[in-house]
Amino acid sequence: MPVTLINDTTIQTLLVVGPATVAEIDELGDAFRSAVASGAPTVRVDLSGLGKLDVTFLQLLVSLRATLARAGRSLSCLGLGPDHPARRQAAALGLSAAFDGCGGQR
Amino acid sequence: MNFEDNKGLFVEEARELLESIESRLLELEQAPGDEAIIDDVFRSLHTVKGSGAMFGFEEMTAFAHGLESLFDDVRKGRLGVTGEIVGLTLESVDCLSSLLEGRDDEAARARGSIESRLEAVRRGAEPAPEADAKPPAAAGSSATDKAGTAGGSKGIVPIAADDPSEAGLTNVYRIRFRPDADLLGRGVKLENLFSELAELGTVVAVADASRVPELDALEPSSLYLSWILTLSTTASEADVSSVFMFVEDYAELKIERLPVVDAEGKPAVPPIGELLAARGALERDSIDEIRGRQKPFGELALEAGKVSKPELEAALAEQRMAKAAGQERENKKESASIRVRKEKLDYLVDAVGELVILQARLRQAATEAGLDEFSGIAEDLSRLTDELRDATMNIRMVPLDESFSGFPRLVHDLAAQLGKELNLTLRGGATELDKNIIESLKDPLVHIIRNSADHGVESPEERERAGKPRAGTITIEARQQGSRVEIEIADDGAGLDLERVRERGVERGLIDASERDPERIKSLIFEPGFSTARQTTGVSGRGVGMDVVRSNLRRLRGDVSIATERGRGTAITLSIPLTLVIVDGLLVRVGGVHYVVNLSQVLECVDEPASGRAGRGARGFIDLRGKTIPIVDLRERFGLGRGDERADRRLVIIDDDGSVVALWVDAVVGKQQVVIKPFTMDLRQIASIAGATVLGDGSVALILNSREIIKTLRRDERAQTKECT
Repeated sequence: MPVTLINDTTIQTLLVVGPATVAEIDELGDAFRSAVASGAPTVRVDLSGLGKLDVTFLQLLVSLRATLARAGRSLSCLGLGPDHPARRQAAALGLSAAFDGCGGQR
Repeated sequence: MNFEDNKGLFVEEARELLESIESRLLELEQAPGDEAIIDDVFRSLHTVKGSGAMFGFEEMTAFAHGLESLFDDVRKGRLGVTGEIVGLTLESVDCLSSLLEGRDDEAARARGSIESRLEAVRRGAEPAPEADAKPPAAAGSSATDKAGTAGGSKGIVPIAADDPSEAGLTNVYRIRFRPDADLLGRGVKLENLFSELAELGTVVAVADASRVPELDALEPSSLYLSWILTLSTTASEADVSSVFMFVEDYAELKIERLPVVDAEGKPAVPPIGELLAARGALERDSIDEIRGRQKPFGELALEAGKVSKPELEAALAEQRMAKAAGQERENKKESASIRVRKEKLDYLVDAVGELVILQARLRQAATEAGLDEFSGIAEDLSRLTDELRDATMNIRMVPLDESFSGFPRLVHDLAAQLGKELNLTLRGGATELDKNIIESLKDPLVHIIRNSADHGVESPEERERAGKPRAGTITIEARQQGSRVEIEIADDGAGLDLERVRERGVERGLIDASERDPERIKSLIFEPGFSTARQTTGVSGRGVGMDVVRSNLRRLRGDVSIATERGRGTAITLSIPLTLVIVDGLLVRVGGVHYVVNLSQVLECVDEPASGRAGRGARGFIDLRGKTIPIVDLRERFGLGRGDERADRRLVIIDDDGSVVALWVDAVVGKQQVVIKPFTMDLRQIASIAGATVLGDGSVALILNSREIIKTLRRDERAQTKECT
């Protein structure tokens, strides 16, 4: 299971563990939709266990951010240090914005 | 097209690239200072590496990387081209080929040794403190001499490090890349593509996420993103395009090289407003209006909502790079061709073949029905079918260069293996043949070349003694002759020792001891297992090969002939029909059976003359306007009985490459376009029949092999002459 949804009344936390590539993307997408459907004001994505990723995951994050923003809700992101390889990969793909606001601390 | 299809396409492309590298390396051996060839090899290796990574050929990618680095050293003048480098690269290309074809064990055996030698060569590339700063072109004898003093590996020439003018060759490219939504499903890894692009220089990628839908509408494995990439590189536009080689069919792609100098050669740094306008992101009228606001233009444009953030970021990146770029180099190369899988083409040809048959049936039905309108439609359809047939057959025609491309390497290796000096001359590579025929020709040509190199061309010492140049020459020449293509493989070697061939033939019981006919003796070399070699070499001499040539040629409805002169050399000529599938034929009837004669060989049809015929069967002749032409009675040839002696019969005069004969038939039915259908093994044995076809009424007609009929006639004539003497 690449993603675990931790329910809380105000914050829904998505714990992403391991690879997040096109092979896992459908499952990740379902989990992200569930988090949005919960209606919690804030959705948090914990990327501290994130492994290999590809463009589909970055796209999913972009979509999640836009979905929440339209509903006046927010996305917070954590567990991704400034030197995390995922940031370099996102930058190479011109998608650094996908990790906007992602902190290094859990 | 799924991932496997794309992978197959990559394998096909990579094969071609490896072949091209091989032939360029052989050219490089002759012209070691040719920078264009060095660049070509480097580019091709780079493409093999990059594309291999995209399709999961990891070992191949890693191996190609080492080789690419070697050529990067060569390109940058850190190494000069030597025989060792060319030889090592050729071995590496073989290894890459094994990895590509999944022959991993074979590749693993070669790889260790190659990689350690590559490493040793590259160590020699490190700039030596006292090395002269000479241009990289020097790879002749003086360059080789220097190797020893520089302390590098044998044959390695460490020379000047970086080319200082390289910085002046930087170009800036704007790449708009909008992949199809299902691109990732085809196995493409965009990350690898972007990183390959980054290897060419400095790249700034700006993604446009404006089309990414909200989660409810998002199909997570589909792509909604598009990119504007700005690349600053010394690479050519062709290099940049090659990065996208395997995705360009599944994406909107536009690569533009931006001017980096003005008309006076000074750096061109367009204002950001101009850049945005040039990119179509901003109305020109808005430029002055925004300028008036005294803020950085980009910022103002963004605030004013005139451009999107990704557009601005990309334009700023472009501006930065344009400042750094110095010199414009025009290397625009557009591809006007598409690649189609051979199976698809075969299917198209089959379908057109069926259409041709159906059209013939329709025309026949129209004629029988006697309805003018129906006949008119059938005629129109017939014309259209002809055009479609010609266009389709033309698609399958490819130049023989494709078949020739591997021969320089083959001759190079044979020369090394046999200790001979060999030159290869290729002519007529632009001559076109059906793709399927070209593929079937490769083996016969290889066998003939091996034989020429091994048995034809003498050793350098023998040649000198004979007053010939030390190096022997093998010449391959292709030319079109009517509806056939001839390929002649000639050497200037010792020529066939016909007496030795004759003796060997007698020993093996293939000919009678009294046989002296040179044509018959020469034809012995095509007998299975026939060889006059006193010892077997690794190259030839086992008597396997030339029989393969004949059998392959027969399968192609082709023919092979030999001309040889002792001490002067041997020429083997292959004659092959242009295409195997659809031909225009003349339909004739003999003994109730329909036969088709290739229309391109038909000179005329004449009524059986009341006089002037000296006899019947193969021994008869007709005097046609003063010219004596032998008659072949097809009834007799095919054992169809003598028929009604009183019935009027006709003669079809044919010309096969200068040999004119008259075919005696019962009736000429008319012109007919025929689709040649493959034969079963049993029927293939009948040499006078080249194939079969289905006629408009569904019946079968046999296609005559005129060349074989004429050959049999000549044989009969010689036999008769022998009998008489």
